[in-house]
Amino acid sequence: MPKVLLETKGIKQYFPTGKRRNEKKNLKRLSEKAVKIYKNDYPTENPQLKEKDLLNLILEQFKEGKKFSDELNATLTEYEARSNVHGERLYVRANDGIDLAIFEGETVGLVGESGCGKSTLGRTILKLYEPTEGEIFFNGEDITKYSSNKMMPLRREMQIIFQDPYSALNPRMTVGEIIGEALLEHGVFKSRNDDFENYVKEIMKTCGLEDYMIYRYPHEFSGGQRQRIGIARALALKPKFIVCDEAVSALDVSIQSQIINLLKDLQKEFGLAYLFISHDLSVVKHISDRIGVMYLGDMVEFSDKDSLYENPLHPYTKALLSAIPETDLQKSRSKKKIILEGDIPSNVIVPTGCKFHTRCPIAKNICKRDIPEFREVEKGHFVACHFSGAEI
Amino acid sequence: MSAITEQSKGFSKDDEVILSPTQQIIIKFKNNKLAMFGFWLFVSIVSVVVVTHFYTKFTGYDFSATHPELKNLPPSWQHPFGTDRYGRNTFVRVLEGGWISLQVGFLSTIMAVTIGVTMGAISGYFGGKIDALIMRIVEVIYSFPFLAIAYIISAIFRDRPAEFRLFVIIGILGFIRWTGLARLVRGQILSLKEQEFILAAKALGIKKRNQIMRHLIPNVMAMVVVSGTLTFANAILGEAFLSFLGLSVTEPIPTWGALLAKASSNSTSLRSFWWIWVFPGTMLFMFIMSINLIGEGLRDAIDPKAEFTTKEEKKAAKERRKAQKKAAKEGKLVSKGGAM
Amino acid sequence: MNNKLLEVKNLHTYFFTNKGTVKAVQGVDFTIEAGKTLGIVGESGSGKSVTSFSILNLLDHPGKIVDGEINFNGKNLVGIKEQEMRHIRGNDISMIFQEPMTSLNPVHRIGRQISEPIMLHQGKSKKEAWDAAVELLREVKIPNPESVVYNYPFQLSGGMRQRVMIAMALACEPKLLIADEPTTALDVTIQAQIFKLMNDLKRIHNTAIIFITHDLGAIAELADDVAVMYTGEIVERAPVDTIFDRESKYSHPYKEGLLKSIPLLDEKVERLDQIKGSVPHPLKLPKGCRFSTRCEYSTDKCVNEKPELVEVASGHLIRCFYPETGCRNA
Repeated sequence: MPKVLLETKGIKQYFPTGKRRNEKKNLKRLSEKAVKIYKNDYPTENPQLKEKDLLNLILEQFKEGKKFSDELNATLTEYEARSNVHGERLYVRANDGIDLAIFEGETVGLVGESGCGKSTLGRTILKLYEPTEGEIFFNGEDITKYSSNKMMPLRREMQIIFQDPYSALNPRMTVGEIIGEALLEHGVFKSRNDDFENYVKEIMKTCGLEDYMIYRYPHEFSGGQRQRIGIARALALKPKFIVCDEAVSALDVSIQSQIINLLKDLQKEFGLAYLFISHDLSVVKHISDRIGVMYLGDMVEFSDKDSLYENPLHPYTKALLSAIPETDLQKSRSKKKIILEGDIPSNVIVPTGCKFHTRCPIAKNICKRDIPEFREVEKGHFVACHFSGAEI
Repeated sequence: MSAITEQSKGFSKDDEVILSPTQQIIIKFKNNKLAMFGFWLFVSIVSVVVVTHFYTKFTGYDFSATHPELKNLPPSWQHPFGTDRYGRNTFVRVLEGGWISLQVGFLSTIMAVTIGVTMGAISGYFGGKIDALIMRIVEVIYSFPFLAIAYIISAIFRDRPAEFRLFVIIGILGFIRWTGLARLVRGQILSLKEQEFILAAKALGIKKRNQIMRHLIPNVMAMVVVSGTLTFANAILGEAFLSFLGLSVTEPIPTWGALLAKASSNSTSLRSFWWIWVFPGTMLFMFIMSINLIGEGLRDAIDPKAEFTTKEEKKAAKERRKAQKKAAKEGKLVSKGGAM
Repeated sequence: MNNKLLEVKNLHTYFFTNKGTVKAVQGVDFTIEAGKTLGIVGESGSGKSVTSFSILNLLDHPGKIVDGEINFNGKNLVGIKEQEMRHIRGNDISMIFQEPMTSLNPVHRIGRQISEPIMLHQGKSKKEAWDAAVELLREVKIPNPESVVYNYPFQLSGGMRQRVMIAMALACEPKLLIADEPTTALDVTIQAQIFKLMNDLKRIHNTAIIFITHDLGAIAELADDVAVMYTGEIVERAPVDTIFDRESKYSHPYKEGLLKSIPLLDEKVERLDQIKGSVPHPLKLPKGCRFSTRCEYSTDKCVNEKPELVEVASGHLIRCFYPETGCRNA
């Protein structure tokens, strides 16, 4: 059994986005209704009180347990519920409790559509964002509460490669400076001497870049080469774990395969573990050992790649798999297509129960009510669905 | 075969020289004819002003000396810009007048840029409450009535020596002008912070200080230089304006604004002795224009979208066009010949 | 057999920059019949978008069509007056772009943006055009179109906006629809919805579509005919089944490389095949075959001579000296 390199327990990442303000109208309507019913029911009591004070009085009595007519009771209950919601702080729920374990030297793929929180998860794991809740373990150490100073030595172990090869490199530094900056910062090399330069050239060669490019600026390179520079920068510190955040999504097809092959070669050479984040299922399938499917901040299915592709259990995974356009015409024509209705809901006010029920073709009443548990259905195959494996 | 692999990389070892982003900006600027005109105009005005200043200083030229017999003479070889109503040489006075403007411009710009960049960078990088505080301060300063403040402060220091008053003016101008720069830098840094290379620096464990010094500031600098040039022009105009109102340095030290004010003090001199106001006015105009041209040129040069070409490439393009025209002509001739 | 809707012949579009002439499109030929979809696939810099801009005459300053014909319904669109072109644009030919947010005006309501071209081109009254807009939105399967017409673009999701764009493009019942990377910015499940919509609309209205993308999978899903472009030239053109037939007797090495470099869902391979190097700089194009710098079968002939687009089988055109897959020296 290989060693667990990185583990997260119940990671939640909420970004505040203001308060709920759209209940005022309802509250006013309800209060008027309550007062009207009350005046109707008890015409003799407190006739001199103003509407607002009267409402407060009724509410007080209601809370103390006084029974009114059914209609008034219902109105008051609703009023209370709504006034609790009004003014509530709202959050973008980027990650809503994610458990994940990555072993040494393996690749875990994360797929999902935009807004499912896969990139946020990758960045939270590296502590580029502070998690709202949950714990992160790296090499058995709990790094959740580490300050940025305490994180310094760990930064050498975990790195990230970004999607956009254009904004990921500082335009005012040479390639050598970009790759070597962290080496100097961490004191691997004391100064820019020959050893340092040779080391940087060595790394560049490993990533398929030529020596002479070391003094050039990023703007002189094509997208694929820039991505190689980004990889070289991450690799320079000899990390054990790299988050590839959509690392090949912005590249042309012919370049994409070059970078994927490079990543695989580097993994073999240095025993790297990857968290490979992408929206492209076929790429993820090719590079990963185990794959997690995310939807609206939740992990909905997690399994090793073969069982995920041969036997997808969650309806969302099934829909995703069927939606991939394929270049194999026979297969693509014989394949049953599941086309999901509607759009991805907002991740500020999330659907109740199972978050996927608004688009799920097999949703039942229970899906609207209860949040499905993320459970192990087969060995190593986790899924969060009330009807896992059901035919669509 | 090696030629092929070379080409496939898009580079060859003996490709053209490596150009840093700064070098590119310089090339683009140099290719902009109008900006270069502004640049040389600026350089020549500054050097004339500086030379005049030190010349008068070392020869002990007395600006207060009056020659009633030479009063209000039109331009001549002896007095190229004519003389004023005290018989003083306007030529020397105009050239010397720039010295104060330069001092005020440089010093207040340096002050504005230092405060502005620091405040803007702090505000943009740390955000949150610090940002809110600094931005409120900026808003308050932004809404100061510049003229009223200058008037009051100038009145308070009426009895102090001219030099001291000059520094007060520099202080006011610098203090009023930093707010715009601070806003600009803050905006730039906010947008840079979204760029992934800043996140990458964080992931690499680069210290905060180095993140700011190495990644943020160099990327903001170009913008600051452009804005600084325009601040410079504004400061000089501001000083001229204050001099015109008699709030800056006073007689006998000449400034462009004060010279203009003298000329405009009565309508007779405006109409009859045109040389008194035309020359300082022209100098002020040319100087401000040259700075603005430089600023515009820099703004174009730092725009990464603007395509840049070296001189050789321009020449080559011209020759290509010529060759194409020639070929087209010949083609026509041939086709005509064929028809006949 | 003369039901060609659009015929592009020997199209050359160049960009005259100070650094040299970028030959973005060089000698492109194709024809489209009504109700068919032509897919143009290529990597960045292959000239696929420039081709579509040339058809609509939307080229900006340094770009110019230097040679060729674009016959639409028997009329040559090259050198036509701007006023006439404007009438054709939107009326007979419409276009949808990659980023639906930037193609919609953010300060106008959806209904107004759809109804305006209807009023302009079909001379309908404001009320009629507004009703037509609602109908169009219903046709592109937007839920409760009666209220969506009053929305602003920012209130809609990416997929909805792309539907609105399609509705706008369909407003005047064009004969030809040019879709430039219409789903690249969208998620997979939304992309599947849009593909289904486009296929349905094509069937109902008998519209011809030029579908431009870098995604081979998307092409397989939508196109009837496919043209593969590389550095401004068509390197292979064939019906979709031939293009994606891995056992085909003839094929262009570039397309072969592209197909092999995409990981397949049901195949287990350790390493992907890759095309070496990258697309050559547009000002430093190779002398002979454009692909010779990256081709694994490249010979001296390829480096020095330029191959022509040759019909190797019925309807299957390839620009290569060695189109037969079996006869190459690997």
